[in-house]
Amino acid sequence: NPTVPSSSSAHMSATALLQKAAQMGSTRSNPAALNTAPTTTTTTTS
Amino acid sequence: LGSPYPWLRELKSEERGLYLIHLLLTCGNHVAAGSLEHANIALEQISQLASPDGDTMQRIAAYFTEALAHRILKAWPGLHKALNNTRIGLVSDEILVQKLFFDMFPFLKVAFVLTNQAIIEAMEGEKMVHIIDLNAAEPAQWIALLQDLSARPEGPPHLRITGIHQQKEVLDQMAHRLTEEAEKLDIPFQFNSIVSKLDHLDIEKLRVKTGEALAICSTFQLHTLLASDDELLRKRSPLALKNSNGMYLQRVLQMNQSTLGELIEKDLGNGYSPSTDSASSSPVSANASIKMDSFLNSLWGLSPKLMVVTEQDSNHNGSTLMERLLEALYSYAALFDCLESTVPRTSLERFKVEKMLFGEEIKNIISCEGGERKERHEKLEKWIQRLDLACFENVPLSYAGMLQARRLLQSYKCDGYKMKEENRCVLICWQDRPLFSVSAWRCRK
Repeated sequence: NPTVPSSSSAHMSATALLQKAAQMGSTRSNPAALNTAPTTTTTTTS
Repeated sequence: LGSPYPWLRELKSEERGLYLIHLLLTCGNHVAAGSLEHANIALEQISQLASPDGDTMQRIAAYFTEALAHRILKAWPGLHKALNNTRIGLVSDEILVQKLFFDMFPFLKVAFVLTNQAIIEAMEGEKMVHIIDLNAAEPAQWIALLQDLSARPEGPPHLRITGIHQQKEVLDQMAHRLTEEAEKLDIPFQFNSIVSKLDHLDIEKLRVKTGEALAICSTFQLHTLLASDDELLRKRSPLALKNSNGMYLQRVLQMNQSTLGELIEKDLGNGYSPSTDSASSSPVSANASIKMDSFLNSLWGLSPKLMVVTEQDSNHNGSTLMERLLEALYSYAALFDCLESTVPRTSLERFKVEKMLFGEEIKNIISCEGGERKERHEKLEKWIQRLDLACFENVPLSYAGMLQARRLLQSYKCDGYKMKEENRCVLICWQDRPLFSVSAWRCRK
């Protein structure tokens, strides 16, 4: 697939990022990847 | 700088992009559920990462969050109106941004080449030719046609072009340029201006005469007619959506089914009820649109020899917010990627096209419902069904036209632009993603 660079260090296109996110979501092979950051940041300062 | 989420700024481009996708979908779910508090938190996180002059995903995220914020703000009509009260849609801006789109991408030029070639072929030997342009904004297409017609072996026809546009200035400019060119080429020519919105068009004003061969050209126009009677169809129960929507989401993000179910329950219970025009399981009734049907019928009644339709080839008319959010993410990702590969990040023109054209479309797709939601882009297969139902039959685009179009695309020396033939129509793509469709039609007797 020409839109997905083989090296992860290369700049990824938005299309490739969406494909990667979709793959991670559907295969659940890498459950951590979309959740590397805390999602429960309920305290905010303004 | 006192950011509540300092770790966010240290993400690398790829991690940041993936995290932005996650946040956008999370935020979309909160907005769909009408949960201002949670949406606000997600928006705040995204704002740490998104940027209209950053990498592609940062740029996209900036426009999608603006759209999501608009949507949630619409629950407070007073606030929404007050914040948008001084916004003015300048005609000059609109013209500028259309011009930039024409110049920066090959898409419209390819569509024009295919359209003009189909017209030339259909009008071979005709002495009186009338062309109706439903979106008369770009004279370049018709200047090229005038030149092609003047080179016809049988000599040029009497040519009349009827241009429809909301802005008188646009039509005046068009009339001026085309008349000038026709005089230069010595072609008998007449330009009729009709200042009108397409959904208010009086067909009688087109003044189609017997004995003239008629071609109709619609560029990015037909989908706007899907908005008009959306309101009538809103009352149907959207319950059938629950399951399909759930599967859709799971493909992209791991979602807890029960949580999603709850979100959709809230979605339905909080006044964000989706319009249900495409919610039905039957593909034919899903396409039903009274305004569209009657418009296509009246065009059919004019007995055009040819009608060429160019449309955005995306599925942006889904009935739920999340469906549209996902589809729009994919198509605008392709368009933004295309700019990233062809135009420097610092380009002001690029910024304008992203903000004033794509950003506004995204805002319309995400934040509007009912008659306000005009950007109802649909895939070629839907247009084929719809035009077939309206008694049009497909005219295959010719080899000659496709050859010209391919040559034009190749002249851009950019691998990403591609052309695909599908059902005897053409899809113009960025990489593997179809973005625009061109199809030609005639009346089925």
